[in-house]
Amino acid sequence: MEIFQIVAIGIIATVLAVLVKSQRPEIGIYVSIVTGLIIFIFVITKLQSVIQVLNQLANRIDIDDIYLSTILKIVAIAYVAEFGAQICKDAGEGVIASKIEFAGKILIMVMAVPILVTLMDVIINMVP
Amino acid sequence: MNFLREWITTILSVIIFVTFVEILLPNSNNRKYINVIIGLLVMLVILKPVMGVLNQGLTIGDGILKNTNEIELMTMQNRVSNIQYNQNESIILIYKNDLKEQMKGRIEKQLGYSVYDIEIEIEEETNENFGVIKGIAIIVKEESTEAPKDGIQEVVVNVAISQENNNKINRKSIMLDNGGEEIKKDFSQFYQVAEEDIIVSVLKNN
Repeated sequence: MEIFQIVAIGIIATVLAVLVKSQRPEIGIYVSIVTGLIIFIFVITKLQSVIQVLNQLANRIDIDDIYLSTILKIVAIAYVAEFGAQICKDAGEGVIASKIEFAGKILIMVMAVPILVTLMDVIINMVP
Repeated sequence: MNFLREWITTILSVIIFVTFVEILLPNSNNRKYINVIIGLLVMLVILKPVMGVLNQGLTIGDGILKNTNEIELMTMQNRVSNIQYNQNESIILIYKNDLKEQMKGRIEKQLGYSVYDIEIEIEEETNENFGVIKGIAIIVKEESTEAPKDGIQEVVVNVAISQENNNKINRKSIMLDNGGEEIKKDFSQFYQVAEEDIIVSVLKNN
């Protein structure tokens, strides 16, 4: 069970970070960044296989690739932005964190614009 | 009937997929934006057969790809024009610095004055006159070791310069009579600038 490993890594890192933070707070941030990355990589490999299976399913039921890829891209942007923003917030830089969130929002919106335009095209074509 | 079956399976699978994705979403502020986009996609999937009946040529996937490419193209064009603008700025800066160094070297080596500062005004618009020197302001330092102190005392103080550039007054600068003419003549010949566009002043040591 991977969840035990992940929780163990998390708890060890938390204890380390709390211990180190009283002496040198800047190293505590390094610990939290590295732990976050380790857990992220750990989970992302799992997620990769799930996404591959989903892709195979999508191929079988003749669904347009663009739907899946757009939704997955949006989820990935949301995750990465959230990850970065939380690290920045942890280090006490709320301003940078909110900028990262803002960038994530804009990138998600950029992904949405083509879909919106196509939908508008379809609706305008439908109206006689 | 086959078409109806395909349509329903597509809608169902997209909705199942979307429910799955909803679990994955992080608990951030982005959630509502993502929901909006997913809603748009589901609408597109539902409308897909209507689109297929209305125009046979372009499918929805192609339409989205086309619009994405258009947005990418626009982004790229904006980036390129920004880069070009920055490049022009830095080209002008490098050109001015090189000119300054050249002028400094020319004054110090050939005419024997020590230069305090040079301000150059050049044509910055990208037309056929791009880079042409419009005006030069040179501030020469008074050499304390050199003998001709009486030469400086004879200098005619030109008030016009203080009207043109106020900070020259703070530096207690005055027009250099003989040397200034020498520099002006040399520069107007070498750089093809009119003599009245060259301002030479001297910075006093006291």
